[in-house]
Amino acid sequence: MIPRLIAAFTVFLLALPLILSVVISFSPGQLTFPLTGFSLRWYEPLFSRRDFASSLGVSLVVGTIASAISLGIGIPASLVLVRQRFKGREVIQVLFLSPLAIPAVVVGVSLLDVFVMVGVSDPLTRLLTGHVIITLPYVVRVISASLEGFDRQVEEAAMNLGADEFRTFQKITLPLMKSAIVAAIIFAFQTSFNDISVSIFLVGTTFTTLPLVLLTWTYKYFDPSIAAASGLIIGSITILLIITEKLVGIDKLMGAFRVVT
Amino acid sequence: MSFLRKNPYLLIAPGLTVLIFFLIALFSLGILSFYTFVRGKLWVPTFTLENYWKFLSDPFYLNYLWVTIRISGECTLIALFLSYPVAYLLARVKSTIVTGIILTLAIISNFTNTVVILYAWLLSLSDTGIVNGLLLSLGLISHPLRLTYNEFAVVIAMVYWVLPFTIFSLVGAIQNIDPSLEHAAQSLGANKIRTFLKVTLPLSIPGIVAAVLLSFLGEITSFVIPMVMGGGRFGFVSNLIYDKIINTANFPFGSTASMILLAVTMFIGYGINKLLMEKAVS
Repeated sequence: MIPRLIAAFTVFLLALPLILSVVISFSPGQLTFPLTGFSLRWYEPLFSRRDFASSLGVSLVVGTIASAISLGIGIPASLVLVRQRFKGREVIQVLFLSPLAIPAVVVGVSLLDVFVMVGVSDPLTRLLTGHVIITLPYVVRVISASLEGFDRQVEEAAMNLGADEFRTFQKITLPLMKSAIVAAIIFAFQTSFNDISVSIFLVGTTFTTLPLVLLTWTYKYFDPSIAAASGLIIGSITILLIITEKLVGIDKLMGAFRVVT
Repeated sequence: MSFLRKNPYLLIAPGLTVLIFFLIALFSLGILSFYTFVRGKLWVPTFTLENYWKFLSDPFYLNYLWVTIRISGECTLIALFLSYPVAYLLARVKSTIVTGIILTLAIISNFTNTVVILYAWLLSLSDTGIVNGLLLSLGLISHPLRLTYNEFAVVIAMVYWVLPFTIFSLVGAIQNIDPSLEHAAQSLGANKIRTFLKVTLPLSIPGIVAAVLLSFLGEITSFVIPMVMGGGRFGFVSNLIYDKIINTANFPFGSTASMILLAVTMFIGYGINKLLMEKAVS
């Protein structure tokens, strides 16, 4: 009986801030629960506060480019790590996952240190580098896991039928890795988009990311516009998921879902 | 694949470049920790241990370390206590609806921005928030409790943040426990509590160790939660680092504090991992 109560309480605890956040974003003014009315007034600052749009743009651009770079680096690297035996393989495997073991703040500070030392002051370069470093381990881990369970027979069949390596990779391997690639994109983009502890050391005064702007909002305004920002993002993700499902098919989406968990 | 066999280093070169840059960054962190801080300049390149001495001998700075470890330990214990029943439920119950709901909650809470979640918690814990409202209406208190911008707020938010990790670390381990072992114990006369203490709990130790490792390491390195929920009156080592680097521009000392945090993290991670290995062998 008691364990079941604790479990129910814990699940309620998990849901509370998520539900509250969505509900509060539509509050007409009084921050009470249940709502006294329905209003979109807290979505208005998302348009009038200049830093929201610009930081959203930065986060989207950096997230997309960093994820793309990580995929471009991580997929070939995973291929080599999983399918080839060479000297130092185990060490390099660990090295690729090492940014996950380093505290995020330390990653940020160390990058800032080296950037100041060599004289790189451009925030875009700094952010992109930092975000590639923190997203790459996830890409390598997800893609490697998928490659390890990969059935090579289909590739061998293709090559027996005359396809060379590149054609086989392009026509056989890549399509079969689709779930893992979608999962890797989700993991990478999410890590980059939501990052605070690394980005806070790498941003410029006017060139900053969305989470950092929301952070300043909690000090400067502390109003439901923060919840509205989240509502907007969650709404966009939902729409994106629906579009992805139409394009990729619900089974690939479920596959990616399962890989992610 | 002959291309792969002939040129493994070519495909892995971009990745290695990124990694090497990262290692250089960590190296420069170490170098800077031995430099001297001079106001007006960024730093003076020397080799001195004064930063390390400053941190390790001043109780003000050591207190940051203590607060970090203490609060993280509390959070891990609370999270373990709260997640075990949920994990047990997830592991044993066959209903996919229940699993699906908890999974969705865990994933959404992971994907939602930390700032937004902290804001929601600050609202929930405020004098007019849902927590105080509930306690007042139940008559357990007569006026609202101060639950925000203090240690309590930090603990609640951090427990919330690690719950998905601890739950899923435990689920895997509990699923590996054969239910027939529990049934056997009960058929031999043990009641539910005895079965849990003597059979389930000991067999789930690898999961508990994994949960502790994951949550504790995440907690001692956390930055945003102590900063926002603590109200500025105290902080974790990562907050000290931020203050030194960004507010005082004291790169040497900030780098030293980072090195110390890194060392503590590595040590605890290695230590708990070793414990896990030894338990697995015995």
